[in-house]
Amino acid sequence: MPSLTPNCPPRERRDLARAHRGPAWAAVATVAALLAGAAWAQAPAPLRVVATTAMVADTVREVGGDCVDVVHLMGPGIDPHLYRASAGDVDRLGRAELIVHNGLGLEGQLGAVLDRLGSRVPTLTLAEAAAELAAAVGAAASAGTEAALLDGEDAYAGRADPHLWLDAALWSHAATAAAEKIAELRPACADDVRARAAAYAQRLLALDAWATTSVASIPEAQRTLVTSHDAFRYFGRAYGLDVHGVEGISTESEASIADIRATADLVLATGVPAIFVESTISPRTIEAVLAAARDRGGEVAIGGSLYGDAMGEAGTPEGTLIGMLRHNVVTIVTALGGAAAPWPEALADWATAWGLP
Amino acid sequence: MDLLALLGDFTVRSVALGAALVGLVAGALGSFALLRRQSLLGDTLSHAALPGIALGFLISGSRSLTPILAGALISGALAALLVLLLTRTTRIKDDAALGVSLSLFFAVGTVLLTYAQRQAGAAQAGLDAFLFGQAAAVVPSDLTLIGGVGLAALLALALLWKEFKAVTFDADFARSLGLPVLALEALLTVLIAVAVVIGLQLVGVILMVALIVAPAAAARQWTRRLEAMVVLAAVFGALAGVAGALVSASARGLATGPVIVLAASALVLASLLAAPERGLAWQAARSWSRRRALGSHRVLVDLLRLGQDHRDPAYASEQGMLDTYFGGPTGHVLRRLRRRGLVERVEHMPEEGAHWVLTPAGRTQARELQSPFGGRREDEANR
Amino acid sequence: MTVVAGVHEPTLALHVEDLTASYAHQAVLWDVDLNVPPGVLAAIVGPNGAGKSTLLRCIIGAVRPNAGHVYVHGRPYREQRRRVAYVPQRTSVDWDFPTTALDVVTMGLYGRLGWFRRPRRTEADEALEALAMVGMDAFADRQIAQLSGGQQQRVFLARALVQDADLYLMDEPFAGVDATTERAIVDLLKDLRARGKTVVAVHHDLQTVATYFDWLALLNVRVIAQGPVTEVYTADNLRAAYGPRVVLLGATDTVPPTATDGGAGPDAQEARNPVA
Repeated sequence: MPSLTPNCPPRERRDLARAHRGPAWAAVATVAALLAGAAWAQAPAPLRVVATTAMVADTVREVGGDCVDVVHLMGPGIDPHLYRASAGDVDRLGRAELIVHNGLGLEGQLGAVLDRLGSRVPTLTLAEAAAELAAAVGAAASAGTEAALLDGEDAYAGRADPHLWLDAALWSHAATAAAEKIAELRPACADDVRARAAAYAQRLLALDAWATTSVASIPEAQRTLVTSHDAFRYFGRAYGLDVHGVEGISTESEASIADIRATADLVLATGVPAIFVESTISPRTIEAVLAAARDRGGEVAIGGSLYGDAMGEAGTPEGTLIGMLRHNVVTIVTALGGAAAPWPEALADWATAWGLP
Repeated sequence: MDLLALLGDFTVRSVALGAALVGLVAGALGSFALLRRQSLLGDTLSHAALPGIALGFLISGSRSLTPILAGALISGALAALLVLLLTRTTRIKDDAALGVSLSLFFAVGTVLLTYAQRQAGAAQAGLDAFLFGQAAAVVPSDLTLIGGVGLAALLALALLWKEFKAVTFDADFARSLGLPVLALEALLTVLIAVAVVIGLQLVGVILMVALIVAPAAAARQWTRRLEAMVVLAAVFGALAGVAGALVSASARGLATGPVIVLAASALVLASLLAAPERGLAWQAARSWSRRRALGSHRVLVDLLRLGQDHRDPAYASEQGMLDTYFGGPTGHVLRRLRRRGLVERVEHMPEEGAHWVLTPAGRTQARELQSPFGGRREDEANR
Repeated sequence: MTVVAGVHEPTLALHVEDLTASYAHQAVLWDVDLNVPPGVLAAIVGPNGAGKSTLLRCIIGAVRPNAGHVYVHGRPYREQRRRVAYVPQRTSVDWDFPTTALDVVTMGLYGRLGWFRRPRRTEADEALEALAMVGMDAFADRQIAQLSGGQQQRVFLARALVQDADLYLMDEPFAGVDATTERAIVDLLKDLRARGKTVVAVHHDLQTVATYFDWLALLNVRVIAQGPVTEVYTADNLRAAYGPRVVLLGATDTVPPTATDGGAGPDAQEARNPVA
């Protein structure tokens, strides 16, 4: 099977593949279609997928291409820890052919709904699947730790931290996991999908390498990442940053005064020049930390807004997983006194498609 | 104390100051809500603020406090108007009208909140925080807003003090003086709404009613004058705010809003128990001392009667007899009476127990107890 | 009756015309005309629900009437507020309010003080004088919750007296008070009359109307009859006001002139309190 040319958008790539198999097959397929009648489409209908977060949806779309029709529940700026399913959501989930969610407790308020539907509708817990694959393959790609998953704390004590997608190398396994599941449900697409997944995984690995290099440019003493909540632990582990969130892994509990003080203490102790707000969380907690640190003579500013639990607007580069990570890395690295590495060749087409330098 | 040392920290100081301001204003204005039997109005106002908060958020798009609080005030005021409308034009009474208005507005608010959840680009985060408050995230600009608005409300209260007092005590009489009663009552409701709204960020929609009611209820137990009650309620409110902030700052994971409410509740309990005259402890102490006195009186009268029966004022009664008549041990009572100089212990027959006799003072007192209202003295004359 | 330069019925202390009020679409007062001359002690009596309290509340503006006007000494009521003092029903107030007797009486001076001015020493002194007039000066600092019914009524009266008005509107001033207080209030009213003031009181006790008051209006949504008590207090009028079930013991059509000692004489005993 020739490698899919990265230059072609999805549809053309598929057509190209078909053309390689020969016109005879196409004729047979067309005849079969005519025989089958209009109601039964000759190509398998796109798999109806309902995803929870946009990150998960983006991954499934990248891997599935035309083979899938993905709808996701949580738009930009929505906090997945707090999101509650509406009646319409439950209906949509019930009528899906495949449900894909992050799992590991990220969608805190959807647990019961997903459990109930899990017995009826094929479900893919993407983060868990990715972690399993990563463990099977060996250590996590970028850091040499044995366990792929990080342990949770506080509200997540006894469970794992669910924010896997911010580690690009780790998340590349998610692409594979998604491909396997789609292939299981749409065997006709199996080859396509696996190929797409492999390509996507390559791109994620390129992104991963770029991120590592970029973060390495930050002066050693300033490699501390302070954000609104503990969403960046995988990110920190993967790219060499000490991370600290004002709130814990989940936003379900209120930030207490002690949390603010502890964070301010840390900011002053490390002398970090910038702290960061997140798109899904009120900036007030970070602003309070800022005020506290400044009152004690600290020189720190808000370095920007990061995409932690959700991506940016659809139709913008930050509305894709790659774009989200790119934005995060650039923002962090610039604010902390480093410089982003040149954009990798492997992702040049992605940049052009989005009209970015 | 270790807690006070926390005040050296900037964050703790900010939260404590905000909580003190909120408690001050809520206590002062809550006094009027309490006296007008409208304590539940505070609850309605705070719950009804939710749709205004959500709308202020959706419209202004930002997370700045001013449009949110303005929205809260407007929807709270509308809820209060609905209550007025329901009580004036239908047969629904005050408490039911408050309940209807509260649940209606709160339900609308919850729907708006979940709607805001789904808005693309809108970070609804921070809206949920208004349910229980997020005191820890208060920043200096918030303090300016809360302080400014709160103090303006207090100023209005001070300027119109006697008018509010007159209208609250006797609305019809106030009308006869020419006071615009309806306008004053509406203004008072608005001021109470302001007191509620400035506290929503710290304590949240659900618990804010506690700060309106508790400091005022506590203060009522201690004072006899409205001026003192309002000032004391303001002090109690501020105290609860600061105490709540300090205690919640001392450990991780303690939400500040609820702890402030606990502090306020503790003040109410303490006041109910300890306040002079009205306090339960006071009343219990009084009741206990009365019962003690009753025991003493009975024994004195018993001694007198025995003396009268034996036609001997200096008759020495054996303690065993007194025990039998009294129905229980009288030793401690007799000793108490002896300490007061009303009885004396005498030795009578060596093989018998203690004997007791009334002193002249004891005789006088016993006679008074026997017929306290200056009744018939034939008993004495006849015996 | 023409209105000349805002003056209307100047010879009457209280002139009410066409007063109509309703509550929940039920008429409480209808076409009420009241013409009280100055210097009398006037009583308004009628069965329960007759609109007596509402009448007073309409006059002072606490209730909005559907029709009618009120003139006091020839000018509209709202121009004459300073000359009118109102004593509401004692039970209309929550006496658990944290305040003292002196404070309540001082409230009577709020109208005179106007906006933003605080009561000062002068006001406190006047209030104390008013309390002395009702024999309550010793109770000035007492919490009103600790006062008996009669004492509370006296405080209310003092609050009206401190206003030094020309017309006093009272709602059941004798309700629920002890005998001593009742005598004291009667003396007070007579003193007011002697000084040329007018008192219009809703009165609950028919038995004492003739002895305490010299002018009477019988009200049952409409005014049945009004005028000097000797003319108005007749069996026919009473039946018309209270309904045909009224039983009068001692069948006379008119009532002899009032006794001054509270009605212990044999004649006064003939007009018993009718059973309505």
